[in-house]
Amino acid sequence: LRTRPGPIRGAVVWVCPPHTMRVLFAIYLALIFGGIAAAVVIGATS
Amino acid sequence: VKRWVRNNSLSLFFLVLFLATLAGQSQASWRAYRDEQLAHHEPAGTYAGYLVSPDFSAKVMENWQSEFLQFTLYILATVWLIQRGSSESKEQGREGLQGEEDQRTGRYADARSPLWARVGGWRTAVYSNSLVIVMTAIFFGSWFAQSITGVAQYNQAQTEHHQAAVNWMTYIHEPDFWDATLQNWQSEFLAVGTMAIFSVYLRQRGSPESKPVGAAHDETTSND
Repeated sequence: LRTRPGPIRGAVVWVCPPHTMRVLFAIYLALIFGGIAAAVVIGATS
Repeated sequence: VKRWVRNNSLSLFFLVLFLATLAGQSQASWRAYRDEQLAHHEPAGTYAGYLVSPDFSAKVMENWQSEFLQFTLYILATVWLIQRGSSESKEQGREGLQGEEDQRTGRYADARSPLWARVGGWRTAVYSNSLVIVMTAIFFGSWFAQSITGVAQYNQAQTEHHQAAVNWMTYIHEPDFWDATLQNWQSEFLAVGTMAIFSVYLRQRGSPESKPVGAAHDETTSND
């Protein structure tokens, strides 16, 4: 855990290498847009 | 890996919950569908077949769209509207989009700010609204998917009842579509309104969604 002073009322902001979180961001995006696309295809072909 | 899991535990927790409950929904939903089909002396089909049926897809999509509408509206409404004393609200006087200094864009950006927050112009304008842009796209995408799967499902029932099929444009004016839509919206709006006003008077120790336990009721403590 690395921290640095935050801009808001002396709060501490948690700094973590951004690339380690991109995997989850991508998984969520893929699940959501993949799910929507799948549903549209299912509906359109039924 | 252990550290990565700990750093991302909130997203991972809900991802696992999502997948588990979606699997649970698909099983329960298929069993209910199968029982109904058998009661009507119709073929039930297979579980795998049910997973790609309009019946299951419509149920998933109608819930998705309402959740993303809820969050999108909440993100937007809290830009301009306030609830005094709510942990979900900005303080009085801070309504609106705020200036570059408050938002740390342009010349107020620091070295670690995202590139699109630093550069200005259309890229900063887009990035400044990227959360709502993506959430809105998901809302309209899943609402559209609900309508497409809904009309397929509706027409299957029409055929079974020897009635005429309808096209998409007709379906989105049907009570069936608005019943599925509004039954989800009402519950979402009740939940967010509840969260806004409950967080004035009630606390959850340790949660960033709550004010500190000892905070006064009229103290508004959003980290805006």
